[in-house]
Amino acid sequence: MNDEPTFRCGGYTFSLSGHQESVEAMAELMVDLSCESGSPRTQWHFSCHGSLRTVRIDGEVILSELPSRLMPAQVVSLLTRQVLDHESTLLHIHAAAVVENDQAMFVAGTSGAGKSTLCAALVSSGWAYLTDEIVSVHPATLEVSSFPKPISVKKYAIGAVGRIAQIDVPPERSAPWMVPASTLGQLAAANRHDVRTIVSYQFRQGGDSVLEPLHRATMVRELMADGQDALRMGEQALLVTSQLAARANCLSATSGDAAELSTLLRDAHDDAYPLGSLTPIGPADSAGAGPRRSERASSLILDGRALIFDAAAGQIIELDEATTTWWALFDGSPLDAVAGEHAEAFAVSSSRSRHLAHRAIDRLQALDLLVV
Amino acid sequence: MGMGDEELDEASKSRRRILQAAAAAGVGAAVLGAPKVSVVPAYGLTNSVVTDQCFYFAWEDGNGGGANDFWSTTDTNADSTSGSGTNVTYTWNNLTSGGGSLVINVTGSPSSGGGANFSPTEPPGCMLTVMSGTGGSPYSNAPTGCTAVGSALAGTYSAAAANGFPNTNTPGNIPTLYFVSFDLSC
Repeated sequence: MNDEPTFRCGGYTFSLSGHQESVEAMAELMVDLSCESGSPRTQWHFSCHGSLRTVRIDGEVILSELPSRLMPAQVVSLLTRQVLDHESTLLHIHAAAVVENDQAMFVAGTSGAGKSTLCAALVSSGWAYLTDEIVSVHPATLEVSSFPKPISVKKYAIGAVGRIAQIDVPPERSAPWMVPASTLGQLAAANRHDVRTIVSYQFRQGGDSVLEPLHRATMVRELMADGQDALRMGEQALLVTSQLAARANCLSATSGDAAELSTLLRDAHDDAYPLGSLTPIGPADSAGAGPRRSERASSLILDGRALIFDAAAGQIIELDEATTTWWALFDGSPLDAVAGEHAEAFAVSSSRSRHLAHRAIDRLQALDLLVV
Repeated sequence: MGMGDEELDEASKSRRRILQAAAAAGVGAAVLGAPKVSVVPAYGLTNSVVTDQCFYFAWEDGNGGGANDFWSTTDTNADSTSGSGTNVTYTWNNLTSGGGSLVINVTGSPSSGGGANFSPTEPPGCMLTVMSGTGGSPYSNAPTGCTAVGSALAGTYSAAAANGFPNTNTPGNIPTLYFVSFDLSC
């Protein structure tokens, strides 16, 4: 009888074997992942050398002689990478996610912003846990899947999470502290979920809880710049992230009290909101020799602002509404003709429109986005 | 007065729609704001979500001509404090474990039986853990517990005069090397 603990995350199945203490510790940590038997599966093997641990995946050494107390965080990190690599057709966004009324809320933010702490607070206050760190989005449906990995709580937040969840923090713990979400609250159902709210969060020590609308284009720029996936997915990353934002209520949140903010977020998650407007920008197809959008830049307009993804330069650019108009107009047509149309549309002088056109050209050329 | 749509080519029609939409949205011929540019991470999916990076410190006491000298495998100015070894600041830039800088301020003057205070400033979202602190015989106490970044410390100081390190091989008059290694997890 094979009694190796076996787990499934999405389509990735793995078993744990080897050093018994390590296997038991890891199995306890991964208690929220669905257990099942079956094949094919990947074998994770643990070996012990004093206080050091070595981890092999299908015989290949992945972590060598790691101190035992660092092992949980490293193994969860490895698992995350394995699962994400396995789900290579999905878009991965750097965020935590929780669910209420079958609709998901993303908590995005840069590393150290407090995503995991807020996620823990939300789960402790009744939201269902979907995942921490990375959210997988199905490009065709914009739905998200559950990946109930342990929540990774960094050093600064351990005390806060303990207080919020009213649980004892073990004195001997991993670094960072890995907490199965089921110790804090409930898990989301395993089916896919639509996304209703996306929050860009930043912890502010001692600060009041502030929740306000965030322009969808800004949200997409932040998500693209904070992800690990934009260059892998290319133009599709921009499109799918923008589609997701266009459907969602995008908010900016700062707070020094994750528990207080979780109450505000519950109200916001229920609020009605207008859907976004998304317009793709096609190739510059005029036969003229005027200023022309670079072919290497893919772009679209989200709620009036252009988002330009320049994969070659590794940049995502957000334009304001006025510059967006020029970006869309620069299709290779002669500058005088474009400026004349602009002047007529906005009832300004031709010289004013030409002046603005040249300013737009200068700025876009500085980013190497325009062929003149 | 402008032409009707039926008289325009496709590119002109497209531009007219753009302008009409902008005017309807109240954009107007406004002053242009500066583009907001964000850098997209240069790594694909296989870049780690959480990474570790190991740092070593070593210092010697004054026995045998030692100079209370600080060492590090990852500090390009490893021997810049030769001769004093007091109140120094080490900075590691461009970290592989999530970017940012790690700064460690050292106050005091480590000596045999004594020590110094190490105050780290971690990059945002990262956690620095002291992995090991050892002292004793030279050369043999290289830290264990995290994988070395670049060449191992032992390989660096085994040459008597490498990087200005004094001759430590005088029998009976051997300075003590003290090691601390750090693990940075982001």
